[in-house]
Order: sequence, then C-alpha cells, then structure tokens
Amino acid sequence: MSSVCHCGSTLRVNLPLIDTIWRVRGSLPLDTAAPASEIFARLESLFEVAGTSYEIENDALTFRKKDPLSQDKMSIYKSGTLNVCHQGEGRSLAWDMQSPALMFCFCLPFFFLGVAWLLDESRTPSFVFTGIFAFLYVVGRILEPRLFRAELRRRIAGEVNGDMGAPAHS
Amino acid sequence: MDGVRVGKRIIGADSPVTVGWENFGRVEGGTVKRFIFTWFQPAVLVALVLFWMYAPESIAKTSTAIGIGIGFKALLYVLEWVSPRYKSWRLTWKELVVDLFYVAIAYTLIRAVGKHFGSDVWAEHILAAFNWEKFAWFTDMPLLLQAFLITLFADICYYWMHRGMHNWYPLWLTHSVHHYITQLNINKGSIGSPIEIFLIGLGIGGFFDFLPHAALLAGSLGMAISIYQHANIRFNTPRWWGYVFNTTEHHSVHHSQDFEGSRSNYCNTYIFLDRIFGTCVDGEAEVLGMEGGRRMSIWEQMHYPFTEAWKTSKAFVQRRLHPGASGSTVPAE
Ligand SMILES: [Zn+2]
Repeated sequence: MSSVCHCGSTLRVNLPLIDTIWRVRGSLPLDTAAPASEIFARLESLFEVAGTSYEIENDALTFRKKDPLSQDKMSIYKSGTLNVCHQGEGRSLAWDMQSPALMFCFCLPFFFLGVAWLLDESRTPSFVFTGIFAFLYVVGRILEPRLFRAELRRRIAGEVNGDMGAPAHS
Repeated sequence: MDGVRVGKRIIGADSPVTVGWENFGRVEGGTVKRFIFTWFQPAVLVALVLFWMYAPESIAKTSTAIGIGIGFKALLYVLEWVSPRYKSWRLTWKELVVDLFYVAIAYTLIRAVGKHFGSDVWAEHILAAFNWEKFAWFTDMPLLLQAFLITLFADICYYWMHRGMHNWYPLWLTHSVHHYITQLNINKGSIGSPIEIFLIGLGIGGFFDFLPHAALLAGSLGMAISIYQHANIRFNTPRWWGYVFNTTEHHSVHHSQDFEGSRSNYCNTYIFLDRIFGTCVDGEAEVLGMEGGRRMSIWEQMHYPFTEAWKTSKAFVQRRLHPGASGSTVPAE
C-alpha cells in the first residue's frame, strides 16, 4: 500500500482552498479484484500519446505532459498521479492532477477586466469576454473532471480498447 | 504515399489529401437535413446581398454588419455541432478557450490599437480627402458590381500577399504559426503570431463607423463566402459554388501537413484566382499542421517568429565566420 495515497480529502484539508482553481482531485471505487498493474494496463492507452511521459511504480502512476494534442483526452492536465488505494474493505483509484489550462482560463476574466479598465474604446467587448471566460472557467472546472472520471470508469470496465478519439490517419 | 498529380505537381505525397470533388464526404441524414446543408451557403449569400442592397441608410451601418457577423458565427457553431466534417476536429473545452482568447484579443486590444494607428485612421483620411467626382465612373455602376469589384481587388491583393508569405522566409516565419493548427473550426482564422494578427488587424480592422454602402455590401459578400474556410462543417453545396468560391475543403488542403498541398488555395474569397494563377487543388484534408502535427502552446505561438529568426540569423553568421564547419550545408526550405 502506497504511503502517499491521496484517497479521500482528509490529507489535504489544511491546504488553502485556492489550489482547487487548477488542481483536480477525485476517486473512483474499484469493484474489481484486479491488481494495480492490471488497472494501469487498462488505462495505458490514455498515456501512450504524443507529448506524454509516464511511469508506474507499485500502486502509483505518475505522468507529465508537454504540449498535448488537441484531441488528447487529458489535454488540460500537465502532470499528476493516479493511485490505487485501499480504503477499509474496498479499493479505489484516486488522482491528483495539475491543470495550467484551468489556471489560464481562471486568469482571463481578470485580464480582460484590466483591458476594459485601460482601454476605454474596448470596454464593451472586454466586459463581454470577461463574462464569457468566467462562464467557461466554471463550465471547464465542473465538466472536465467529470469527463475524465467517466473516461477512467469506461476504461477500467473494459468498454474502451485503444484510442477512439485519434485521427483516422497518423 | 504516392500522391495525386494535379497540374505539374504531386499532391498528397507527404500526408493524405483527398483530391477530386467526387471523393469528398457527404452529409448523412434525413431529407430535411440534406436539403439544408445543400442550400445553406447560397441562400445566406443571396439573403445578405439582398439585405445590404435594400437596407435603408439608417440600418446600413458598420455596427449592423458587426452584429450580423457575430450572430452568424453563433449559427455556424450550431452547424459545426449538427454536421461536423471530421470527428477528429471535435471542439474541446481547451480548444474553445484558446480560440476565444485569440478572438477576444482581436476584438479588444487590436481593435483599440486599430482605432489609433490602423485602418480607422487612414480610412478616415482617405474617405475625407476622396474626390468622389473623379470616381463617378465607379460609383455610378450598379451597387452589386461595385461591391464585387471591391472584393475582387481585395482578394487579388490577399492572394499575392498570402502566396508571398509562403515563399519569402521572413514572412513565412510570421505566417507559419497559423499553420500549426491541427484542426479547423470557425475561430481558427484568429489564431496566429501576434505580428500577423496585428498586421491583418490593422489592415482590415474595419471598425470605423462610416463606410460607403458599397463597402458594407462588399464586406458581407466577402464574409458570406470566406467565413466558412476554417469551419468544421460538412456541406453538400452544389458544385458551382466550389468552382467559383473558396471553401472549407479547399482551405483544409492549404492547412494539410502535405508540403505541396499547403502551397495551394491561397485565396480568401475567390478560388478562381487560384485556378487562374495555377495553384488550385480541388481537394480536402483531415491531417493538418506542421512538423507532423506538433502542438504549439500559446506561449510558443507568441515568441516563435522571433526565436526562429534569431536562430536562423545566428546560424547564418556562424556559417559566414566558419565556412568549413559542419553546419555549412544550407538547410532545405
Ligand atoms: Zn497559409
């Protein structure tokens, strides 16, 4: 069992809430007895994509991404760890990932507020885009972690083999 | 890959390009859907022309044109969702944020700069200093003909400017950033290096409030044709459209990873210019980008022309100083 397991949120409560802006954490109960190596094998095609490097060590998979492709299912994340954890009776897969893309989108409303303040002739469009990016941030912060969770669930259940979203040619 | 001979060139030798209209994908679905996606483009063109020809002066203003442009873009989002050309170009949250960031920059920063230094300033001067009497031969022509001639002149300029960008290294450095995009959607026209965005923004900003009626008609004529070039929409538009006008299919060849394919279809509006000048390829491509489809981050898009120019000039100087050194072979273009 991994000593740096991120299961549950108790380990992190003392950290400032601020990191939830760009940090995505979550977990999925595992209803299979398959060993961690088997779980990660089912997820491997998610990480065998351009610009991604990863390593599996015991119960943990650690990845890093540089300039992921547009259709990369994890394109918003830059780095992170997935852990197979034991929680009481059952087991679960937990993850903790960093997303500069979320951070970027979070900053955009402030940037365009600044533009509105500096440039009088661009006030209206700047306010409009402030609103658009604030809305997009909320959408992305809620939607993207859900999409990732659903993707993991499908792959662990064996519903996805290989990469469905890849272009027809390569 | 073998590629296909088009004129004197082999298209699709480096990366797949579908050549020939008969080989394009078709819109799937019921009768109504197919009808809409067959006649949408011609219908919108006719509707916009009629609107601008008969709109009273009180409505025929730049602000109306901008409003129509924004509304039309929103409609095209819906069409991309209903009838996408390629699933591999699907819009993701991150793509949308990055694309809209560039769109937002165009509508705010560049617009503000344009007001002070760009098209707005010189257009105002030109319009004020214009001796309209000398241009009576032009302004006496039917409005639609005037508008067509304006768009034709603008597109001939655009064609040669764009072709120059692909053939002269300093310009290519600036334009190449736009060619790193790996999928098309209606916002992709806004993506590029800041130099290119500013130059284009200053040249065709067109945010001034007073414009002759013919120029507004010309603007919407151009929009009704060229707005589709980056769209991920599958149409069944009749053949004559693609014979005369630039289409998303033509422009996808221009964005192809295939080198010869990317040196085709330079026009913005009238593909017959490419036919006349010998650069037209009636085809389409799904695999787009540069360097095998490598992704360029926003940060790299910002500095790439400068850092590449620095690397190239450094290598050039070093070759001059040490002619016998290993780096002396001139790299291929
Ligand atoms: Zn180009």
